[in-house]
This record gives sequence, structure tokens and C-alpha cells, in this order.
Amino acid sequence: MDREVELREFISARGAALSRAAYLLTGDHQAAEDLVQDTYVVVVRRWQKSGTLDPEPYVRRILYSRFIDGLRRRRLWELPWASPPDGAGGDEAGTATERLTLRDALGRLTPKQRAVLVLRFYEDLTESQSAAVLGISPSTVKSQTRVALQRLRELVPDAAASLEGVES
Amino acid sequence: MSGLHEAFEEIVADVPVYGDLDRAIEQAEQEQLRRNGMVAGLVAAAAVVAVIIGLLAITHDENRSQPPVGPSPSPTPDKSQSPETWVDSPVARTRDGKGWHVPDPLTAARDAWLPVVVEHLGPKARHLEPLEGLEWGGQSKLPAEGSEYDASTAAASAYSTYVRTGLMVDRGGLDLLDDGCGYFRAERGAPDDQESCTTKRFAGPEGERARISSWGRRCGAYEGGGPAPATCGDYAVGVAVERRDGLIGYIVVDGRGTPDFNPFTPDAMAAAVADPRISLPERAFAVPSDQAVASVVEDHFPDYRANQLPYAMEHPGYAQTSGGLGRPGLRVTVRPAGEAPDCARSWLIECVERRVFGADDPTTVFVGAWDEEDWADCCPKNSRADTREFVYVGPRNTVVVTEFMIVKADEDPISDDLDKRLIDLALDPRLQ
Repeated sequence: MDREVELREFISARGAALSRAAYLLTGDHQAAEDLVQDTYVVVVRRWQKSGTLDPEPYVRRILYSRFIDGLRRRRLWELPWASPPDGAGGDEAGTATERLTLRDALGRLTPKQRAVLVLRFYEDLTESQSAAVLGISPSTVKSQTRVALQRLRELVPDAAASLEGVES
Repeated sequence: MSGLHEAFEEIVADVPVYGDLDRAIEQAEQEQLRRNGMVAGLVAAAAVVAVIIGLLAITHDENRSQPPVGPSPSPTPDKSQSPETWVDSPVARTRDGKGWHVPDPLTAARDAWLPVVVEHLGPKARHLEPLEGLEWGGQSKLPAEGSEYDASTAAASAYSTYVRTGLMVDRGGLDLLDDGCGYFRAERGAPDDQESCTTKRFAGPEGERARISSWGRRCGAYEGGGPAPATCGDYAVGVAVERRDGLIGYIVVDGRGTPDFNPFTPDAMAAAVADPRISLPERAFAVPSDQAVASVVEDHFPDYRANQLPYAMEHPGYAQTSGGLGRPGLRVTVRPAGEAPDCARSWLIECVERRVFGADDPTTVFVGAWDEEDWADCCPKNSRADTREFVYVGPRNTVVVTEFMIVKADEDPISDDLDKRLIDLALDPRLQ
């Protein structure tokens, strides 16, 4: 199959999932859009040279590494995540508050901690698979996950309480 | 909230689809045009230099033979090389992929392992797909849901399961036969209260000493909906057999769930790695040990500090060491000699064939410089990666030496003097 057709099919099938992961990582629509677009440019640049690589882990690795390194470069986490969530109008279901609070708390984790949580608990990858995406060891994934979850419990005590109840 | 996954799903419920592939293609093409313009200039300059050097060399010796592709002779100690003696010729990019493709004459033998493993593991193994990337053994996966693989439970089929197979020659370190749980803990980091591991001895297909170790780590607090299902976690099941030929054969199944999700029986796993067809040609056993390679590196670089692995990695046909030389990192691998390496289209921005002792001597080291742009992801702001890889196809073994260092944007790259010393290391007869 032509490599460009192959790429278009992959993006068509997985673009939405990549966008959702990018939003969880960045917490901001504009930043997520920039991250996905940036990833596509890198993917296109390397795609023709990439042989018969499985596109899923390949693209995922680019997305996550661009995210972490982009934050290193731009200190992006100080921008959108630091500001209070908008649309604070009503809380009929209680869900909105909890969602925004968790979202806000995610922004207070380090980029690598956030990436580890998204890979492990949103993309449901194993420790080894997450480690491969981030280029770190499985033990680092584990320790980062433990620290990140503990930090979330501290930052979102309401959510932590309900989850600890679930755990028991 | 019903778990972290569900909470994430709520957060992304209204996220639109971002990204414009057509715009990305256009942008990438523009970047490529800019890069081609720059690289073409450099290549043209290099070609002019190469032609001049070539003409000078021919003038000196009309009878000089060409070219040096194939095993180089082992250098004699009285020769010396330096930037002044190097004669470089560009190497064309001939294949897809990344970096130097270093042919390994043992690849075919390792590829032949998978059908043997499948034969022993039974019908569920029919869908094992070979994976690349393991230089010392075999690796494959049972693909996740949506494939033809029909796991016994929906949960088991939702994630890919990975199988790796290897042989070990040296029992000096922690291994799956002597202490399987210790091996898994060393490989996967410090234990916590979510982890468990059991190990027991049993007999292989012909009474060989064998051990099965089952490691698992249960899901944490945020994972899963409602009470965390008992099946939520990661697992690894390893079987090691002390084979009749003195080697340790081992196989590890790694997946999501609990050790009960392992689709293969211990007896089948033991039979697979006890099978004498899981073997390598004799020349594999002539490759120096990991420790011997590290010792040679230390002789060349007294300040070399090898990374210490807490478990054994002594595989026949492949030796390795990696560590630091102060700031630069260093990795050395040794495998039986094969064909000359190919320069792949990605990663290496420059591939040259270097006659290290001058045009009249056939000793050749292939030198690749990495593409900084593709490595840009590695580096903090205002810094870049400076990396080179040397490949020496010697009379018995191929030695690959990789140096890498993060340097500041305005800092000098890795010096020619370090390159010279690393070439001396690659040529060391003790690695042959």
C-alpha cells in the first residue's frame, strides 16, 4: 500500500484518540491542537523512511516525546493549567466540579507523571509498554505512577476519598 | 467517579479531532526543501574533498586495490591512526530503517526459533507475530483484541501479550533459573505491596532442572470501576530450563492481567526452550563475554563506568556494555562478523566508509553521524545531541561503538581525539 495512503488511513482511524490523549496531556484545546499538528509534521517527515513500522506505537511515541520535550522548552505548564477552569456556572450534577478539579490537578503534575498516568490509565498500556513509549525503564514508570497517584490524592481529596473507598 | 479511566473519559468527552494532515504534509515538504538545500551544499563540498583526496591517492599509488567492503584485517599494534590518516568515502543510503543496519549472521538462526516455540506452545501460539528489536533473542506478541487471536476471556484478549525467548551461557549473575522472583524484581524495580511472586521447581521434558516464576502486580487505587477486579494488573511468567547442552534456555510471557492469564502451560514453555533446535551456530560461542568487552573498554578508558545490570545478560552471539566516559555516554556491542553495514535512510545524516590507516591500508571503519533534527526530542532547550556510531567488521566479529553526548548549542561537538580513541577501541584485537 502507498505509504501516504497508509498514513491517511491511520490518521483517519486514530486521529480522535490522539487528540483526546493530547488534551489529557496538555489540558488546553489550543495546546492540544498544536501538539497533534506538531506530531503530524514529524510523522510525515519520517513516515516515508520508517519502513514497515507499526504506526500505533510509532506515532504515540512521537506524541508523548513532543509533549514532554515541548514542555521542557516552553514551560507550557505554567500557562493554561495554572489558570482556574472557566465556565464555573453551576454544578447540578457534581460531575463538572470533580472533572475540572481532577483536570486541574493533572496540570500540577510533572509532564512525565502526567504522561505516565495517561498511558497507564487512559490508554491502558502495561508498565513495559508505557516505558517503551517514554524511553524510560519500567521501574521508573512504576515509581512515577505511584508518586503521581499520591499527588492526585493530595490535590483532589474528594476524588481520592471516593477512590480509596473503591480500593478497599 | 468510577475510576481514573472513566474520569479521563469524562474529561475528553467533548474534545474535537485536532490536526490537519494536509497542512502537515505541506509543512514537512517545505522543511525538507530547506534541509535538502543545506545538506546538498555539505554533500557537494564533501564530494569535492573526496575526489581530490582520491586523485592524490591514485597519484601516489596506481596499483591501489579497491574497495574494502567485507571483513577488514585485524590491525597490527604498530599501526596508528588519526584524523591525518583517515580517508573517507561517502556511503549511499540503500535501505529503509534507522541508523546503520549491521548484518548479523545469527539472525536467521534466531528467526528459526519462533516456529519451534509455536510448535510446543500449541494452538494459542499460532497467532504469535515476530517482533524486531531484540538483538540477543527472539521476541513475539499475541496481538490484542480485534485480531484473530481468540483468548479464553474478553479481558485477556484486550491487551497484547509478549513472549521473549533467550539462551544464556553464563550463570554468574541473577537469572531465571536460580532465582526467578529475584530476577523479575531486579528487572522491574523495587517491590511494593501490590506485587507478588511465586516460584517453584519442576522437571523439564527430559528431566532437566527447570523453574517457573510467576510475578504479578495488581492495579492501584485509581484503576478499574467499582471494586478493583481481581484480574486487573500486569504479569510475567518465566520458565527457565538447564539444558543438556549446558545452556540455560528461558522464555518469558508478559501481559496485562494476572499470571493466570498466561495462555501457555509451564510444561509447554519448558519443552520449547529445552528443544535443541533453539540453538545458535558454533561461532556464536566465540564472541567475548559482556565482562570481557567491558574490561577492554576500561583498558582504553580508565574512567569508564559501566552501567551495572542487577541481573545476568550473558547471551551467546551477542556481547554488550554501556556506561559513561564522564559526560559522553558509550555503548559497545560485539557480534559475529557479517556483511558490511548499510546506511539506512533515517537518523544518520552522514555515512562514511573510513580507511583509518590511510588509503593504502584496507582496514575500514564505518562512521555514522546522527541527524540532530531527529534527535531534537532528546534535548533540553539550547542544547543538542552529538552522536556518532562506528562499525568495524573484523576478521571474526563485528564491533559497534556508539558515543553520545548532549552539548550546549554553542559548544564544540565530540572531539576528533575521542573519535580516534573510540576507533582504536573498535579495532582492538581482543574483541575478535
